[in-house]
Amino acid sequence: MEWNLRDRVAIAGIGHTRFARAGASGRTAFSLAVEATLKACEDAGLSPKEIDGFVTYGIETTDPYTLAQTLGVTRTRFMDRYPGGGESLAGTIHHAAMAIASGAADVVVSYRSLSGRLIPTQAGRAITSAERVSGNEAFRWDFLQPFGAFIPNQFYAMQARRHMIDFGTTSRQFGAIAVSQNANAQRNPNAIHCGRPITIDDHQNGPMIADPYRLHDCTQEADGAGAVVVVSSERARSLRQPPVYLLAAAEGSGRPDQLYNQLRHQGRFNTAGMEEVARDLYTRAGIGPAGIDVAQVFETFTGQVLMALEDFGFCRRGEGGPFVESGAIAWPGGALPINTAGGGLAEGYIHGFNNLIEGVRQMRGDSTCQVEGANTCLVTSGPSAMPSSALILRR
Amino acid sequence: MAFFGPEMPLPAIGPDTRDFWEACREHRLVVQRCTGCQSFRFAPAPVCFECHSWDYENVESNGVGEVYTWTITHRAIHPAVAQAVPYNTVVVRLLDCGGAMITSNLVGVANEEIRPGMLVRVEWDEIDSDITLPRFRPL
Repeated sequence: MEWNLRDRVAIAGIGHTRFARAGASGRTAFSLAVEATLKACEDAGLSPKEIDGFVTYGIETTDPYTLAQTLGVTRTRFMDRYPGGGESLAGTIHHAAMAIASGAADVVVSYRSLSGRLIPTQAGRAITSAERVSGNEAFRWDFLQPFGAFIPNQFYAMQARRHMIDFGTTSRQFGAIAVSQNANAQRNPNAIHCGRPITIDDHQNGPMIADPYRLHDCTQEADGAGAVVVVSSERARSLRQPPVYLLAAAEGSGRPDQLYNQLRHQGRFNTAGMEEVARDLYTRAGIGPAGIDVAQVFETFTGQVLMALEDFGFCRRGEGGPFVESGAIAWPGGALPINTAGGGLAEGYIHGFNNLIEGVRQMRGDSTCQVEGANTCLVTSGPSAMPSSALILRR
Repeated sequence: MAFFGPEMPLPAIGPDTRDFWEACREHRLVVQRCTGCQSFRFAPAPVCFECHSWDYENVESNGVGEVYTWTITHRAIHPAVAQAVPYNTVVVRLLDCGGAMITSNLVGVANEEIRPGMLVRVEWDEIDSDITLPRFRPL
């Protein structure tokens, strides 16, 4: 059967909390999730009690049904909790679209919340509950942890190192991404790094965490939450905000390759594992990379952004380094500005959800680094960990 | 001196991996090869990824491989690694056994000297009566 969700749904409301450094908010993730959802409903001009579908992902601690009850929802028709980590970000919107287009639900909220540090210093607890559920635990416990590889920072570093070996990519090129996004964050008052500008020298002089990744290569855990309201396109046109349509979405995996969540690791360390998702996405959208005006690229780490840009065809495999150094990703003026609110590196890391919200802002014309005339925005999900997902928004 | 501290997490031996860890105790590095289609697979798994046969043999590697990638960890993210920081974790691609890729650590080489493609040979680190871990040393 042919994929048939193009333009069927739209994001009609967005909401988020203030973003603070991990643990600094003094609030529970649950409280933040409720706040974000209430704000998204207010933005949409809908009562929270009209929500009949709740979707979340990853290691979210706020259960969708608990959120529903807390909002006074007396009738739910659709629940989804997508596995993995940040790989599912776009997948939640895809699943919301399936629910709405099939008639299973009318108003679906996708949300994510974080509070406090996720990965405690006791890295023996570094395997998160979602990864345990997905069945990858045994491989990591037995064949990675005894050799000192506990956390994504290390696995992704080894993948980035392979890209450097294969293509001559440099740490300075990773730094170009960090500096560009940090510059965008200086215009975003809610960004954790607003008021904390960095230069390439700051990036190069930062402490090494897991070689080749230094401090500024890494997303920073934050306290915060975000939510979006998804409804049918027809319904969205009757509500108060300009609809932001889902042009296309795709999810899934290709050949197994990534190091830390696959039983067999073969030779695709030098990608972000999203080539197949990208291909589906562009086919479904009817446009290619040249048709994307702005992109919110899920980081986790700078090298993964670089590899994701290659996966999505903005440059050839191996040319990500020169591409990001060229000014192509900068705002204003770049051919493809990325992470225009600062992203997970500089705005805050709510497992990519703030990237989705920024994508909606770009399409509404409301971004603090607005791309003039932008009609389409790519939003990608967690890189280098399959299965992943991605979507394209359009005005 | 031990690579990591005594509280370092160790593999749990289960039915799917018992052969591998018993071979390690005997200082043999083995990789499963499917009886049905001759595909190698690592880490051990109960069924062949290619043809779904449940039959396999444990083929002994000659233990030589090349460094495929690595990282140097600079932070003591677990108490047991504090004594080792900064330490390397490497992925070694065996020259035999279908190029199986094994995550391990290099010994006998400074972190700054690690290079892609370095030839390395397995050696054995007896942790306790159940577990011996493979580590690798440059040739």
